[in-house]
Amino acid sequence: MSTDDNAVQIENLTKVYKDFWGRDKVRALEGLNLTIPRGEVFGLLGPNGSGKSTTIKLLLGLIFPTAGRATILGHPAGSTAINERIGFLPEESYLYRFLNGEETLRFYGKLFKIPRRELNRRVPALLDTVGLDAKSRKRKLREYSKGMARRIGLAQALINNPDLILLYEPTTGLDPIGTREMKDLILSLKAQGKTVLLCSHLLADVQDVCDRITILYAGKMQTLGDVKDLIQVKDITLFQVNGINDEKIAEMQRFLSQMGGGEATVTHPTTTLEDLFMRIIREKSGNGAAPRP
Amino acid sequence: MIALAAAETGVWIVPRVSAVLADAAPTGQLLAWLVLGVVLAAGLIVGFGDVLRLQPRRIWALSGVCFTESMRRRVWLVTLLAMGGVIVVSQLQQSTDDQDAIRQTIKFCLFASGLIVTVTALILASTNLPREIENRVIFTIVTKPTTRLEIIIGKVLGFARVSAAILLIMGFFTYGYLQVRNHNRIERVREELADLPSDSAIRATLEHYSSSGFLETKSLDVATDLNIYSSPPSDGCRWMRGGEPQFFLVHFEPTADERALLAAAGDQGAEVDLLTTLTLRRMPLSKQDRTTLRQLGLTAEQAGPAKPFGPQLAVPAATQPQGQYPALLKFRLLASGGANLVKPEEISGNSAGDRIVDSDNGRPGCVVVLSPKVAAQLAAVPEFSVEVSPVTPGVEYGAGPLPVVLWVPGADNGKGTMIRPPLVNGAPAEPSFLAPPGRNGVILTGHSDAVRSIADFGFHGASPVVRPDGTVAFQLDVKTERAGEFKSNSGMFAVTAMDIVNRSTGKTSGEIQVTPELNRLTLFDVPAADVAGGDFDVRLRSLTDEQWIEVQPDTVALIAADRSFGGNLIKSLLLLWMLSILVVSIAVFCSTFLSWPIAIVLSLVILLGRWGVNELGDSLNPGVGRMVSGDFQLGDPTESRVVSGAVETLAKSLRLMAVVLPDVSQFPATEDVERGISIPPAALEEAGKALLLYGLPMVVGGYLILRFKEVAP
Repeated sequence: MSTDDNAVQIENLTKVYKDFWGRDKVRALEGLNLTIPRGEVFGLLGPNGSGKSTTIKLLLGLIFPTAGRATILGHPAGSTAINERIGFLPEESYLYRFLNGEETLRFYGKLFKIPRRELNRRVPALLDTVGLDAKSRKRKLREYSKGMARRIGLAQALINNPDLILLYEPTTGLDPIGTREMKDLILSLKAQGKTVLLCSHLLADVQDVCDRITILYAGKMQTLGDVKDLIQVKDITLFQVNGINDEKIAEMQRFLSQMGGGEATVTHPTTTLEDLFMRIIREKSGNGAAPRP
Repeated sequence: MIALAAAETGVWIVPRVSAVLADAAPTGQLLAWLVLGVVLAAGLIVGFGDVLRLQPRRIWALSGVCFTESMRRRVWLVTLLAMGGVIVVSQLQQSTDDQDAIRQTIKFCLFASGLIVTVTALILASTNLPREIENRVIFTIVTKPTTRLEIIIGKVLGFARVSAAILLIMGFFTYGYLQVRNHNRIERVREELADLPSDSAIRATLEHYSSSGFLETKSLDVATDLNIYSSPPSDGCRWMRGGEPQFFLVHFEPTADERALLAAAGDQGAEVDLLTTLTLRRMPLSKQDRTTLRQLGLTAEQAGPAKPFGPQLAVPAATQPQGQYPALLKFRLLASGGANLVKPEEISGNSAGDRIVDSDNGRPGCVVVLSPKVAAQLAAVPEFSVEVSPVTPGVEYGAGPLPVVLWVPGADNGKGTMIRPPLVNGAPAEPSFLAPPGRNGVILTGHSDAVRSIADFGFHGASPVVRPDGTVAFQLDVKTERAGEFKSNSGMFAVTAMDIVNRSTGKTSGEIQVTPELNRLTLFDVPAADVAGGDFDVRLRSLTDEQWIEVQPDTVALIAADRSFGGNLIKSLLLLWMLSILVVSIAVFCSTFLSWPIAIVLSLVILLGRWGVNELGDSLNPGVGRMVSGDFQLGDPTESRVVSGAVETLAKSLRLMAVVLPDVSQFPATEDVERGISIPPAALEEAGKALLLYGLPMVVGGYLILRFKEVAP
């Protein structure tokens, strides 16, 4: 795979935080090597202090590496030029709280030199996409709920129609509907050929949308691979059968035992709480669509 | 501003001389330009790419956020506070008359405007960037295609817009409030005029205010030089009188060759002569003159042989007329800035005064012998001045165009070489005649019975505007001080007399007597013919014995044109705006590497450092270390040397710091407006230059720091 095919390429990236006197304080990241091809949804996982934030900050040029290098879309990370093609949703919505939703998007749009006419078209469309209604978009950000703040944060990350989107805890503060919409949006971005780098503690969300993940711990990469491969338990086989009674189930257990499969467990499948929640809300709202905040 | 005080005697040196005598400013400016150049070069080397990427739309968007934030935080409310304060203070003010009341109101308005705009700009600009880093809003800015240069410029521009908004609000208030007060005061003046006797001294002034109001703004032509004489120039001489506080200064800028000659004299142990040629006039002695003569211990002398004069100016067999008091002079050699270059006692004969020797040809003079050490000291400096003071009362000392020269006897193979003042318009620079300072200008003593002290205001290329009645208008702005014992009931006003000598026509006007009100503008008219051509001298003297009047070059001013008050107010606000931009630039620079409280303190130090050091004045002059160690009464010479050295180093560092720090006095927003004088375009130009000189390095410096700063806390 050539360098140009990669959205992110990290080579031996190291970051050591120093104290006032220049002495080493914390080795936040050590020799990270990572390649994220274009069009992939990639998950960056790890407990607190594992180096996730440091990696994101290094990729965005908010801090400078102690050693190693990173490139984004073929350009050095942190360069102003490449920021034209990046969207970033920080862990909290670090936006100007005295602006309203619409002003916020217009402000960030101007930083990208988006023509006024295009901005007039893109701002309402994006606000619709992230689910902020006409009333919300005129309210100051300081009056926003956490979920609304995440939505406007996501909108500002997408204002430039970026090729690479870095999402830090995108579903934090969102209700299940919002979470589902966020995940749908991520998948839709992937469908548009965009690369998404997702950093989250909510492993279920990561599992739902990511193609590949890496897990960091103590500043080092512990594992890397396809989500499905990594979470598959290969020595257990699961059968799903519809419409058989308890007697037949007992018979099947005996049969499997005779086949040398050890003790077979029988359960009834459950849906996810998210699916249940979505179904109830849709039924109650009457029109089948999830209500917006 | 107009003059600077010499170190030891507080001698005032008027502008022409101060321009010649280099003060610290040019060195400081040079250093500041150097700093600007270095910072700009560093900025270009590091951030050339960012300069190319500069986008006005992005900068405007970033500035718009700063502006919106300030407005939505209701920063503009400070203007309401300021307006309330101005109205209250204006109502409570103690003014001496209507003109003073309006002046004070203008001062309050502009002071309040300046105060709130600078304080607001300082606080907003110092806190903004640290807060954005602290609450991480900066994350969403620097991860956009925004360069750090655009962020810094955007912030400076944003707070400049906030300052402009505040000044706009205060400007409208100032204009409106002053119009109301002006209207009320005009009504009051009209009532006062109705009851005033027709021969009242203040009637002309009140009538002027009644018709023109108090908010008029004038464009003034002021004198380009000011000299103090004892009597009008005559016989090719300008005069100073012993017993009067008068003296003259001759400026020297020896060429490299001439300095080499002086240095050689110093090296070879040869003396150098200071040759002085003057004309003497004996005047009738007053009672005061006789008292002074007794105090000086001078007695009338017998005739005797004269001291030989220099080789070129030898005075043959000069004699001292019998029964006359010896005409004595005192000399000082001044360094650039007005301080003593050589201790006065190191100049020969100075303890008693050097003696003028009359010659047969009426060209008396004297030779002051300068030791080789003094010659070496003169060689070491690029320029110096000779101060010549008259000593003997009852004697007028007349100086021609070239009264003092230096004579190096051993130079040019023993023929000797003369060192003259530098050439100005093809002739050696003429001396400046001066007097010691009072609180508000050069002192002019008052004499009702004789002419003993004249201020000569030289106008060059003035542009008189002739009124329909064939006159031109002048204003007189003298400050007065009472002096001595009161001998008569001269009242509270000093009476002044003026003659105008038109250098173009050679004619002298009749005497114009004006009774200026105390410390206030007085207007008077003169026939246009007296000032035709624009090159003329106004000679002013005080006729009141007990009154000293204090004059500056702009004491007598020709009213060249009437300007609108509104226009002048706009210029004043523009100066305040430029000052606020400088404040913002400094504050943003400091906030790139400091937390906001420290950034505010450092910004204040940068802004006020120069002023503070200037306030310390002579306390920081060389020698302060010795003085301090003396105060501690340190017995141990080593300790004394250490303390002295440390204090000297500190004083030197402070002096150096002062010259590279911005000079806030280059933004003179209030004084001219308050006095009703049109702010000259040069003032705006100077302020713009100061803003560029000190503001630009701050912006570039702020960029360089932010460029390499990790903005993630």
